[in-house]
Amino acid sequence: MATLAQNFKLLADLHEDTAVLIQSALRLIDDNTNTKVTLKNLNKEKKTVDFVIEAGSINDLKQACDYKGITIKGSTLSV
Amino acid sequence: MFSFNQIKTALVFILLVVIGVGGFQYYQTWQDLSAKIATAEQKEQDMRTTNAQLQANVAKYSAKQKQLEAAVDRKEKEIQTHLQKIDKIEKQLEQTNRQTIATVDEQQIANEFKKAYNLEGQQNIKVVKVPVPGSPWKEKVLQLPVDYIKKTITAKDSKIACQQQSALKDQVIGLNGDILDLQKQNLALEKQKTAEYQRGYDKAFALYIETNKLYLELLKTPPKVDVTPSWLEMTGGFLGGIFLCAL
Repeated sequence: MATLAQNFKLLADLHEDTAVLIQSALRLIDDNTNTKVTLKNLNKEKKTVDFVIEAGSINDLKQACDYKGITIKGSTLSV
Repeated sequence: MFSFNQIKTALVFILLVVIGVGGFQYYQTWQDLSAKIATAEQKEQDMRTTNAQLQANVAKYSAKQKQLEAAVDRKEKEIQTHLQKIDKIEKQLEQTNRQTIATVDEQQIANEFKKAYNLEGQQNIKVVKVPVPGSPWKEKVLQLPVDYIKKTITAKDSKIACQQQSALKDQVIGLNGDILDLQKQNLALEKQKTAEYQRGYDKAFALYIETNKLYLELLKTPPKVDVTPSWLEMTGGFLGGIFLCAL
């Protein structure tokens, strides 16, 4: 299970506009829920990242992404 | 007919005339040759002096050219050093930005924001929690007076202008590089041209010296021309003279 810091570090390789939006959504979930998300398979060109819900509900992630304007397609996040 | 004395007198007279005319012509020829020899030798000396001066000037300009080439090499090394510094700055910037983006601690983020925009000591900038609309969630946000945001806007504008300037400067550097390449090509052609002239001049100078040497030898020892009349001509002339005197 990745920590928030590990996820943020992974996202730092993305363009900053995309990175901070996803980071903001992850922080929102981390501060308000028990849902734990791990990010992986970063794609710089497509500006996407895959996710795995380690604990909790995907609905929390969906709600946060909807609030931030992040698109969820399958297990991939994109802006 | 003519008496012996008359013939003798006539022969002596003719002999004296021949000797006088021959001597005069020899003197004139000798004077003319001496003048031509002196002129040719003076011209050769002048040419040698000019050649020596030319060689000295070429040596001087070649030395100056080497100095300039060394200066160009130094400038090119400076350019490489600056390019390496630019590369280093870009890598450091990328690394710093990555670290900033990876930061998790909200208080550290707030402090870095204050530091970046010279707002340290401002107590009214702080992390607060605000409700998320339509949700029981709260979100941590950085609270700051609205006018402070202007600094981030001007910073962004400055960054865009800087990027545009940088792009244009890159174009200028590229064009300067093209000009430098063309100048190098031009210089190479000039060197080739100079070398061709040098070869031509050296060849012409050597040919001149050789030709002048032959010319001087010719003037000093001209080819012998047999001007003595043949026996047949002498006999004819003698009989012709007697015949004319008898008339």
